[in-house]
Amino acid sequence: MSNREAAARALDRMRVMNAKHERKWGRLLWLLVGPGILVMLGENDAPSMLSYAATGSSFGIGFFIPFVLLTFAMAFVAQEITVRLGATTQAGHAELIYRRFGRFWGNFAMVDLIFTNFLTLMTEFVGIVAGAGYFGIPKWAAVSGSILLISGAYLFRRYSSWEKIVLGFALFNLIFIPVAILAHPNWGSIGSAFLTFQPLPGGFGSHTIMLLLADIGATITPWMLFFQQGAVTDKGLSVQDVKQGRIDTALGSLLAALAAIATIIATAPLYLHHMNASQFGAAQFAQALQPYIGHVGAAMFALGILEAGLVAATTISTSSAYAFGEVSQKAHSLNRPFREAKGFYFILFAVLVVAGAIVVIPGFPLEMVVIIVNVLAVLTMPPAIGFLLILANDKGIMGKHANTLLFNILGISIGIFISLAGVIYALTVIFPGFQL
Amino acid sequence: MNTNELTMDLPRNALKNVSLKQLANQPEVVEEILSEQHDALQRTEQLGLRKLGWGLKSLIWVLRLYVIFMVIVVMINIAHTLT
Repeated sequence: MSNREAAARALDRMRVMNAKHERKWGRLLWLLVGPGILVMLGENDAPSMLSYAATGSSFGIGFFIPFVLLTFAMAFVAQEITVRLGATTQAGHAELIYRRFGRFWGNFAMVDLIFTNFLTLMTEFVGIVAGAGYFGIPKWAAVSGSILLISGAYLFRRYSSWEKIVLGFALFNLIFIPVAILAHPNWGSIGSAFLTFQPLPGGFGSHTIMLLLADIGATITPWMLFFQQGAVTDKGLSVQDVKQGRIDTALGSLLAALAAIATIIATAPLYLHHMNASQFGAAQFAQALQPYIGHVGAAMFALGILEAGLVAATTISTSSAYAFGEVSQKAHSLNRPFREAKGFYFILFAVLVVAGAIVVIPGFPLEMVVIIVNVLAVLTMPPAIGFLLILANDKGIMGKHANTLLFNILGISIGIFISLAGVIYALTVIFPGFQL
Repeated sequence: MNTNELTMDLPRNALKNVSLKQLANQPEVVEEILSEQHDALQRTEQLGLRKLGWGLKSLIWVLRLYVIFMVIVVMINIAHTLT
């Protein structure tokens, strides 16, 4: 660890100690929140918001509203484990997998991460381009402008400054809440959906299962595990901060669930007016919604998609860079200046630039990538959950912070649920007439 | 010493007014503040490979084969959609 990196982390720790000493619990929480909210709102990315929009326009208000809440509860269970792992070991997720399972299994986990991260990053730029397109901004300007904006947050060379800037952007995700209100939803139907998980028009056909899987993929993905554990370590959280880390993760889940449910509600008018919008892009959704939520609402929807892509592009590229640094055992901290962590920053910017460049290639099948990316993220999740649970139960690593029986039951249930959802998806692909 | 105990010994004003540059010039203070993190990292660095029983090994292999199978399924799905 360089002098600057250690001093920056120590300064953050001193502020935390000071808040604890003076019993300023609000300030303490402000100092310690970040990774959890960022990871959850970061996962409310462009393809996720498009999945929720497709869900709302295909099924209206019903089954998917409480289902999304359930998926975020699952995300909380998985992400809480990364807080404990990071605080206990002060090591990133990739580093722990390599250390405990060896290079063979570590390489598999990295291939999954790099593959899904890169595809997801491309879809973030699709969201940025589509959102900006609504305002008449050309593709190249949207991509280069967003890369410049993302780079700007790294200029501070401090994890804490970067975190608060991105957090500010991430909270913009809640713009979908006023958009939902502008759609004048039937609040009685929403309340009833929460209680009954109904209605689900058409039952569990292949389209429903695809959206079900995409919505799970919109909340639980491998990059989130790598990002949050890396961020917890970079922030310097210790085992005494696990409680605040939990609050941070729970708060993130709640905010992200609210934004996701709001998106379903906002696009429900398209279902009520029988518009087949399941394959819409971001800008098309905004345009289609205009008669129901007005110009301002449509513009807010497009801005929300743009922001979702921007924040996720930042967090996903950072998660790739953290993983690269951990595996190559090179400097990997946002508290380091560029000259001290060239490899880390190079990967961070390289993935951004390459993914952004692909998106501006004319004729590239972007819609296909958007549809498939969340599904792929879910399908690569079971091994990630497996490693996570094995690590969380490893007494050699976790000591008294190892998983409790309750967390094991919840974690295993999530693993089984996600795996089964994947199997059902496979059945609908192999046997197109398959229906539950 | 945990962070709570450590804060008891530090003068309040020193905590409030110290800058990053000042702190970078006091490596011993930095080391003391981050001692908990250093100890944890040291413990992690001493960890070796975990011995996997046949049960865990089979589980990891099954999950890996699951991913490979699912990637093939996704490719079939893409082919269906394109045609």
